[in-house]
Amino acid sequence: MIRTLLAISLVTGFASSYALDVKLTPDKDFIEVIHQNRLIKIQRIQDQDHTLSGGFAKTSRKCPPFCIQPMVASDGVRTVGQLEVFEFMEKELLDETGVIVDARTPAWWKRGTIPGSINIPFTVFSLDVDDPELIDLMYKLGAKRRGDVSGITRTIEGLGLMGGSRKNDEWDFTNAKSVVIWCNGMWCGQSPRAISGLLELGYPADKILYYRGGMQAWQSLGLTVVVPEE
Amino acid sequence: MRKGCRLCVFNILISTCAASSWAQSNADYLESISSEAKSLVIDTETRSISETTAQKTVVQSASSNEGEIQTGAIMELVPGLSVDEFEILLKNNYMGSYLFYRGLDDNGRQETYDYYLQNPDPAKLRQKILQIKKQ
Repeated sequence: MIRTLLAISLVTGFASSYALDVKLTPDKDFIEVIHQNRLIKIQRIQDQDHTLSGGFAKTSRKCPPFCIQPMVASDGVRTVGQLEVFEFMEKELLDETGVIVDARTPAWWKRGTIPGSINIPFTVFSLDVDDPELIDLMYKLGAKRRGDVSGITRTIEGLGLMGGSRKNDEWDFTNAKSVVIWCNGMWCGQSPRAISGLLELGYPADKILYYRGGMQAWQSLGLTVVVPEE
Repeated sequence: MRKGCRLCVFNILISTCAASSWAQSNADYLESISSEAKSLVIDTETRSISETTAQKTVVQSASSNEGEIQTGAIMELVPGLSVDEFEILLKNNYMGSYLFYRGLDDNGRQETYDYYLQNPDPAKLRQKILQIKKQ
């Protein structure tokens, strides 16, 4: 129901003039996403004299560990910016073929997150492959834990048959969703660690998008942040 | 001690030190991000926009039925679900926990459900299921 409302809103909301001075793009005032079953409008702060305050106005943190991250997190993983994230929210997130992952630890998540995100801390990806928490969260990404797989099956899959290119001994990534992974921004190593963890589990690199700007870039553009419910 | 054996012991020592150093650096990293998060304050202007326009539709406690769980209107482990609703919600949203839960005998499942009624928290429930499974 809420998705239908959102789809209608996406059509009518952009057509009608909202007359914002500070838009997302020349032809887009806002977008709406579902966050914890609430419809959230993402727009920018309209006060053109506003300057950022709070934790994300800070310029310097000790390095290491808060060092500047490379533009590319890993081979085959695409780095994206805000416009690609908006597009992802309107397409993959809406039709449930994609997930946006806030890879920060819960202490960060609780203080505010990008609407539409779910929290999967990077530490989860280093759990044992049989840990139910890892299985729960991988399931949310569309990956399934495999049972015992016979040697013959793996041999056939190794030849690229039976969808073998998207499977390994532990996981079936046939229905893996596209995932945008982000953390605090260009000085934060949490999402790169999450990406490494996912790749080690065998998650297809072409399904992973790295939003390097993260919360720092999101905040500096005055974009809407939500504080998750307890 | 033979030369080959000494080399073997040396390799084990090096590996142990490397693993311990890796674990230490990981712990240091977690400590650093945790202390940085404690002092974090979000710019209030960005926070307030959504909260005034948000249309709240979530059902906080389950006075509801299986339909809302099936359609995804309820995705969190809300309090007060019936056994059937609890199992459907677990299956739809916590597959790992569900797989372990499914492997329990009737008593184990009942104990899990009773525990959920007192503690509707996914992390605690997960630990409880593992604990029952090990018994």
